[in-house]
Amino acid sequence: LNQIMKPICLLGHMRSITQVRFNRDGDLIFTCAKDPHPSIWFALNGERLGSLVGHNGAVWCVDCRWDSEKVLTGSADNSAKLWDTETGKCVLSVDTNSAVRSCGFDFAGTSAMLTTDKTMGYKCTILLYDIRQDPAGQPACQMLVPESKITSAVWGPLSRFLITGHENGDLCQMDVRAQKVIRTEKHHKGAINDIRMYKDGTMFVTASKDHTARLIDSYELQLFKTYKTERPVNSADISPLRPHVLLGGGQEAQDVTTSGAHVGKFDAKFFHTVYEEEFARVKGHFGPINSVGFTPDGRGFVTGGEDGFVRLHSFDNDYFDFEFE
Amino acid sequence: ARLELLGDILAEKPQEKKAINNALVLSGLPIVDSARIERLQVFIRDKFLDKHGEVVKFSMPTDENGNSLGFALCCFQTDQQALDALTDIQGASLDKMHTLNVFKFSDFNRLADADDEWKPPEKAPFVDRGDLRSWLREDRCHDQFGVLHTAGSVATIYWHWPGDPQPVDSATRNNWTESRLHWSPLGTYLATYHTKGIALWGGEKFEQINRFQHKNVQIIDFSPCERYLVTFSPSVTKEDPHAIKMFEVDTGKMKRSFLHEQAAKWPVFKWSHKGEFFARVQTGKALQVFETPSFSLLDKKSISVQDVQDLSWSPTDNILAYWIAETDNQPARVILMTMPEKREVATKMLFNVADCRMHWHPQGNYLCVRVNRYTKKKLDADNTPKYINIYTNFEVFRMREKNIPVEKIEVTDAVSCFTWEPHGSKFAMVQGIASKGLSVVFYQVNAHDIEKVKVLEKRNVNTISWSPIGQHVVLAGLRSANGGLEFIDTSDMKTTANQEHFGATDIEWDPTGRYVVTTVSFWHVKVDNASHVYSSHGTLLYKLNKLERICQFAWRPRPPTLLSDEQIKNIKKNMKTYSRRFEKEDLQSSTRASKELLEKRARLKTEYEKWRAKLLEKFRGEKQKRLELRGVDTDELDSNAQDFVEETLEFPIKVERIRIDKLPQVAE
Repeated sequence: LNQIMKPICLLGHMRSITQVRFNRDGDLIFTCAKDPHPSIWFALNGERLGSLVGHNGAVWCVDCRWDSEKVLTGSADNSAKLWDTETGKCVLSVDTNSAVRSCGFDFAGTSAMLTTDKTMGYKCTILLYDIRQDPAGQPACQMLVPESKITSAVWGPLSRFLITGHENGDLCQMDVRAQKVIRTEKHHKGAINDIRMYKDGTMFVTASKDHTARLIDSYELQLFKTYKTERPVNSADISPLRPHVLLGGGQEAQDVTTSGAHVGKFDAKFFHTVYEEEFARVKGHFGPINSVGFTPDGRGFVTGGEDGFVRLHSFDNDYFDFEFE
Repeated sequence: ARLELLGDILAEKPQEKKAINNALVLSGLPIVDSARIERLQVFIRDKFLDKHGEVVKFSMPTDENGNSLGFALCCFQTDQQALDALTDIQGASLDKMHTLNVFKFSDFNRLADADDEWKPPEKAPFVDRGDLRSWLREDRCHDQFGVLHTAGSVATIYWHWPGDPQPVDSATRNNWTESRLHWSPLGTYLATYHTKGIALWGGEKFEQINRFQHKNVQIIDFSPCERYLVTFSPSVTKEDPHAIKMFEVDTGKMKRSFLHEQAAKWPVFKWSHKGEFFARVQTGKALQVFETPSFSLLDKKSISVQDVQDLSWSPTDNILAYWIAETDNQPARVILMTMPEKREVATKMLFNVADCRMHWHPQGNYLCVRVNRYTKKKLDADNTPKYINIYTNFEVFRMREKNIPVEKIEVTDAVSCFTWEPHGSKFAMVQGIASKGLSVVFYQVNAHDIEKVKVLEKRNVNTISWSPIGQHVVLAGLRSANGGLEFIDTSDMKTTANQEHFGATDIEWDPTGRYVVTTVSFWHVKVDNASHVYSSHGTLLYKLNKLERICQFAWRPRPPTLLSDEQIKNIKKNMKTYSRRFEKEDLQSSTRASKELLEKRARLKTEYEKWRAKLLEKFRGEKQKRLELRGVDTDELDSNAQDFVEETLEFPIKVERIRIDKLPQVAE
């Protein structure tokens, strides 16, 4: 991969990016950061559609419903908010006991799941809300997570259960309605920083502090592939179009050096899904990359970094022709 | 407890000396009558015995008529003296008809007790060593090399596939050798050092061929034909005082052993090219030339040469060169002598000689004697000569020409690193002193003269390493110098490359002259131990740096080619046709390497597809549920294309600000 067209840089956040997400159609990009105002952008040209105003603290997570009508955000201000995408108006807000670390709409888009951090007397909790109810004050059900706190969570296929990644590297299937841990697997040695579903929900990729990302099936949590790097992996995603996996990561704090370079040294790494071999790196960020994502059509990708920049790339023809022998 | 004490005391009880080991039997003596018996006794004692020590008892038995019986008995004061005498005089000839046959008295008993019936010796079981030259038959004619690494605790033999050396099966062994690896001259065996002695390994799997006992062996030498192995150990004991032992490689038997009397450079015994003779100098006194397989002195005696200093064999003929130091009434001389005839074929007188060193051309075409000459000589207080104003002459003997003419080259500067070009007629040396700048000078031996063809100035060089096939040479600054490597093609004296391997301690060409390897050995430098492999033109091909603490890199030698010079010339002429074939093979082998990778990837791909197929089955099975949950088919991005709404977005391309200074007046 030699040349990639010059990326579009989205400069909307003053603080480090925490998550970047696309809507299902791929025409909108949602970014949230350690500042209180998540933004929505047009993927076509990087123009900002608007900001979501209402939170008072860092916004850890964002999700867009399958029909692109609603946006969900979770914040360190101990609240999660539901927004109308078109207008940016907050239509629902729920308070939690501690910072909301992950959030996500279920398959149908009628429920929202939140996970909260473990702090000061409050255990890590999973909360499910029925968002059709208005006003929704109380969670439809909730589940306490006694041991290692959840660091990342997504809905499983058909939203029958949640797939959660924990600080100690555990991976679990949680049936919140039945208040049951269906299954636990320990594939990682360090905290799972991010979990991203493949487009059909049958498998997902985990990004971990233990310098690896892994490809795992959603039904039995069976480990199938491992992608190794030399730095903690903060985020990973699976291409919907080609057998490629994208990894974004960090650097141990003590290794950070100031660089006067115009283009930063931190890179996004591309691996072949099946052969587990790294075949390309894309530089650009001035700090560790915190969130990555392929565009839903697989023709580009977006990265958000500690430096507050969000970079939107489009692949050139070489990428689509590139084959491993 | 008392019994134990008793044991100690008993051990100290003076033992009656069994005087056996200091006694010798001398047989093969002439039978003389009573009149001459005393003269014979005196003769024997004078010539053979007295010089080895004090003879405390001597007896020559006679028959009833007073005639000698052909043998004598003698006792020396010490066992050692008897042993020395035995070694020295065994096989010595008294005259044309009589040869001394000496043996220990203790052996006599043994022989006397031997069975009258001769029993044929037990047949040793035949051990099939396999094909000891199997490595030469490798498909692509790759060479092997051995690496001693991990601070000497692991040795590995590799196939040299350029860029990707492969360890030979079962040839990575821990503690294979206790000091270094040593290949035999034709590459057949790998010798390893152990406290107990030497072990030889060979064959496809490097199995142990033979073992040779020599406690604390320190250094070894092979005969050029690989039939014999010579070992040296400084550990000598009263029972076994011989520091140098010679073994027959095939059988493992020790053929002869020697005392190491005077300080000398190794190898003490120098071999003729076919292993038929080996010789050493008894400094100032004689040349000792031995022959194989008897391992006794040629013609049963040393060649007495007064003031002889050193000898050296031609690498291709049975010609022995030696030089004699100058004395007050005689100049120094270099003499060439054929063996076994002992015929002098060339002599050169040299005047004002301080020292000589002999350098044979590897194909025996020339002998160069480097003569250090002086302008003035003084004698020190203790009569050791002190030489002033030393300059160097090189006397080149043209061995292949009738009467072996000698030509002289004079060099006034200090000289070091003299080397001949193999298969060629050039020689090179380093001239000058480090403080003023060293130069490397090349000479060419032509039909009628010796021409200085090139002087390369200001070269920090301490090693000149020629390719074994000639033409290419590397000028290297090893060890304390900065590791500079200059690759030169001497056909046009052009430098083909300048490289640097900082800290390199050793340099070695492969036996075919295709590759040069420089190594930073852990024995000298504790960091950055690696070997770098260069082409003959100086291109760095690859580095062997994944092995830790490399101590030694050693190419496996090859036996000389069976092709005649004529055949080689023909091959060089038809190089193009051969090149085409080999290039094709090279291409095939490079794709062969990735073939393995391709197969691995194909396997991974099928496994992955199988896994995905199972998951997709589940996915498809859930489709109905998905439709229910969302009300539309969203499986693909365009599954619900019919619901797509076209939207036109307008983005301003350009924003321009125009300042309106005055608003137009509006009429009321």
